Amino acid sequence: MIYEKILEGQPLEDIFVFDCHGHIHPDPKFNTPDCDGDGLLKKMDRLGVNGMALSSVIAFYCDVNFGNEDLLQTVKAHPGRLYGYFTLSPYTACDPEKYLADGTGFVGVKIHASVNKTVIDDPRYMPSLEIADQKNMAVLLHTWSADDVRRTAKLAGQFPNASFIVAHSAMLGCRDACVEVCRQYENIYCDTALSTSFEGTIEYMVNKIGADRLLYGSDCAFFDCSQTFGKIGLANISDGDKIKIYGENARRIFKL
Amino acid sequence: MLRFMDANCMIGPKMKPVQGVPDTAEELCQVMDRCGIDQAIVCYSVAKDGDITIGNQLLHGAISGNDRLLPQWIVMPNSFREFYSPVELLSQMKKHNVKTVRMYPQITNFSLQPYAIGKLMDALAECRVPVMMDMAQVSADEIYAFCKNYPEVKLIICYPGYRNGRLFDALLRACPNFYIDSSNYCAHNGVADVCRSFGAKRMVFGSGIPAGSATSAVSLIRYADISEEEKQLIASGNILSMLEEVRL
Repeated sequence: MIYEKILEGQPLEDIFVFDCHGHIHPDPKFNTPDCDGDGLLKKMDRLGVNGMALSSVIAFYCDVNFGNEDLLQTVKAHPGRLYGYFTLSPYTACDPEKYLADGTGFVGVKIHASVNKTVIDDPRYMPSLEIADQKNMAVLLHTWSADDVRRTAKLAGQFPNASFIVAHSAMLGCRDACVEVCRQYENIYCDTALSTSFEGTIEYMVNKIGADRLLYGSDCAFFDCSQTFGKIGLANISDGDKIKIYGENARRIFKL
Repeated sequence: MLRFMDANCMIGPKMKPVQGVPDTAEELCQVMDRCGIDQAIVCYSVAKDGDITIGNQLLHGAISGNDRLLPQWIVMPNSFREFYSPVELLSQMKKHNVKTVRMYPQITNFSLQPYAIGKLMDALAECRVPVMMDMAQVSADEIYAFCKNYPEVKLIICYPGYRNGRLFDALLRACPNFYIDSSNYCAHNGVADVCRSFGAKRMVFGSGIPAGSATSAVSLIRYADISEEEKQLIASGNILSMLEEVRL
């Protein structure tokens, strides 16, 4: 059913689809059109994506206070469709309690350690991770190497009530590390966001860690949502597995 | 239903194979079937990573008897008589029904300036053979110079990358013989943006196999916010028009 719809370019209206990895705000290095809330929603509707969890590009590149606040306003304007990650900075104070409070629409924490020029388990991130742990929230980690992924295991052990999402997990250089840490800790998940990935990566990850541990993440509006969306739908796995990856796992993790 | 022809695809053995990535014609056709791709233009990994002449010849054995796969050769200038002269090249291409070529100026280490490849480009232009190059092999300025130096050659840039939209806007504006492959042009609404600004005729569909995935590539086109007619041009119409123009 899902395969045929993707092959015809139809929206997936009959299942719950949640994109765990999106962004608002442009990237200075390249054009990112339509990257505001309305632009993202238009694309989500085209695909049949029910919800998306976003972080602010401006927040992790330079201005954590403006970025988080602007995202909060965007999320408030689109309740039930757009959700927020509170972006951490190891250098600039920004009140996590405010954004991670109940009813804000923020559902987790985002760490982009490489842009912050530090490591994923930098001690300065810990106060916010403690809140995420207390509230059983998600933590989305930009990972780009096996070392990044292995540091995630340390956090997963330290904060067992938080759900850690390893972004860009299917990348060839770190996918085996992802498999390794997912087997070690049940609170680690992998997302599907990549600009280019080899044929068969979804099948590989499902085979190695199971569909329960994989989440649809697009990295929109860096990338078009449709490429990873279609990659899951056309993968040689069961509809049951696709339904978990598209949204049911996210529904559980984000308590949607 | 859209009909797809993959214009950016390479099969053949790799030093480090990746599970799930098609190496053989049979494996590629299985992926094509899953993605709804009818035909593909394929070159061979040995011609890129080993020897051009040996690799190009091995390609024909690899796709022999498979009428869904069209051969593409990798070419370079005939330095010290190590490759075909332009006249010989065209004769061999005609013999083997090769209608498109690809170049790797970085890997094979040659200049794109007329003093180095002028005669080769003249020959390809005369026969209207489209030329493909990977974005990683050339700078935007080299693309511009290439398009101006060889205005009769249709240049398709493969694996264009989602970060290069600003470069492509200027190149598409300045160079009517410049085209981009869609394989990983996965910028948010990037396909629709190119169509809105320049029309659907400036993009050809490619899977980017082996580095890219056909499942992603077809979805970028199928879900693009453009008309069915524009999708069909990108999916196969544009490359088919180019192939029809070839006169070997």
